[in-house]
Amino acid sequence: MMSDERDAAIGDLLEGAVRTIEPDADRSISIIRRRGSTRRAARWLAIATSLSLFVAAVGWAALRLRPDGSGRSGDAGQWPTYRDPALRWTVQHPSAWYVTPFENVCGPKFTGTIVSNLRDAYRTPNPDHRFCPWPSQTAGLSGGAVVVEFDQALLEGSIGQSSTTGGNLAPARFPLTLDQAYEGGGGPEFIRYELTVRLVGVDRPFTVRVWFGTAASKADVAVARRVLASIRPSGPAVTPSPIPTVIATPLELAVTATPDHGPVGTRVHLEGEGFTDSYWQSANQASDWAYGISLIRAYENGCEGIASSENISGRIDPDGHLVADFTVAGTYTCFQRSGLPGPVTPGTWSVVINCHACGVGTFEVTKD
Amino acid sequence: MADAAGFEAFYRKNLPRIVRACALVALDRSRAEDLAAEAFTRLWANWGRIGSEDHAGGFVFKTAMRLCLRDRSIRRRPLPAATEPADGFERALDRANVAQALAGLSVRQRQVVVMRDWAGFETSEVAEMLGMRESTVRVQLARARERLRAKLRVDEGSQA
Repeated sequence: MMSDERDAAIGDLLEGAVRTIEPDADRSISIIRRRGSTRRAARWLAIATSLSLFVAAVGWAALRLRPDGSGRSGDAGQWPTYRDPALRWTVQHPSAWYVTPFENVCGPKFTGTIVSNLRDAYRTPNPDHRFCPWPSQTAGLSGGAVVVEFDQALLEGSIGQSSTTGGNLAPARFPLTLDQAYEGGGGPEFIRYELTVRLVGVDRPFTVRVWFGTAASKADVAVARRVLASIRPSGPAVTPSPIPTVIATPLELAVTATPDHGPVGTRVHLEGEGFTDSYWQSANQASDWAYGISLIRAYENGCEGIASSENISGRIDPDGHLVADFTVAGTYTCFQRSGLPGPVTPGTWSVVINCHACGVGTFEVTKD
Repeated sequence: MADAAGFEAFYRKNLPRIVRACALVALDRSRAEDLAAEAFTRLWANWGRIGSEDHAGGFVFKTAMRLCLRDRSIRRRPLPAATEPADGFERALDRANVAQALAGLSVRQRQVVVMRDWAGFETSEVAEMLGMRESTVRVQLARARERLRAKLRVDEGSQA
């Protein structure tokens, strides 16, 4: 029978069995109170400790992940300050990070400083390489690396924009932030940002680049943002300057293309002024331009496509006047990786002359 | 109920009941006193959070029963010898054959029958205190009663 009622008979039997049990309350009360008090104190201690640890952990995490990048390496005000020997720009960085100055690399003579969380995260390009790519080839960049770099092309009169994609950027303002930067030219293992800085009284713009490896920690990314924000020129304040339009450059070079757009196979005529610098003049003395005239464009797969033009002819006279002709090629090769050619697709391509970094303007490739 | 005097009064009033309940489940008086002491220690450690005497009673009973269930020495305890009881308590139990009858039950069955028929808790309270479903409590209770009646020759129909 499954009754929910109390069985009094069984209850009485059980009561009869234990009725005579009379424990000595005095014997154990002091022990019980002492043990109970100890446990209560231990519990409060554990709670207080847990709360303290939690608060400390939250505070620590907040410091590490603060958007302005101050983080595990302490207040940026306590970071060492590095002054670039050539540019005289300063940058603050965690003492454990690596600072690598570079000077006079590649044809247009770039100089600047690299700050990174990993040693050799960023390879300095080989200046003996025929084309000496700049910025340095990043295909080997570690996924855990974050890099902040700034440079200036020393060649007077060059466009100073080493990226094929950053030519139309608005001038940056200090403190530098990624919001001002162009994002592109990255790859499956890293994200790349680039921004241009122009200073009053300085002809050549400066370029600042940031790489975030996709496996980089949030803390390192935050610190890199702080490093970026710490960059300061020692010269005059930054002032905006006009954004370049169509194919003209904002500096001393002035180049026009006829036509300025067209499909693959279009024959393009270039004329320009301002190519007076010794670099351009020496290039002109060569039997052919080492890099020719190429169209360059960044792709989302991390490839910088280079379409080497066909049927190139051209000359720069001693007065810095450029006259050149080329035919828009139908295919490109990937700058970062070999064996990845592809068709030239419609869109805006940068026009470079003689070197990978020597952009002089843009050309619009159309479908028809 | 945050004062030591209040706890001591409660302890003195309820200690015998808790020890007896543990004794009926553990079938060992000294073990029952240890378990009761541990239950009251936990009660004192939480005394500041106990809102009423009823709450304290439920807390200490529930704690004692759960300690019994976790005690391996109770679960593995052999049947007490019927002819030569170990101590005075078991001798007293043995007089009514209650010890032998209880030893034939599982710890769970002993708990439900002690809590329902001896302590007088409602089935729903037993289920809540032991962390069981009410239906399970009823099944265990029925089996326990059936075995006890068979052993102790108690007639049915004596429900209160």
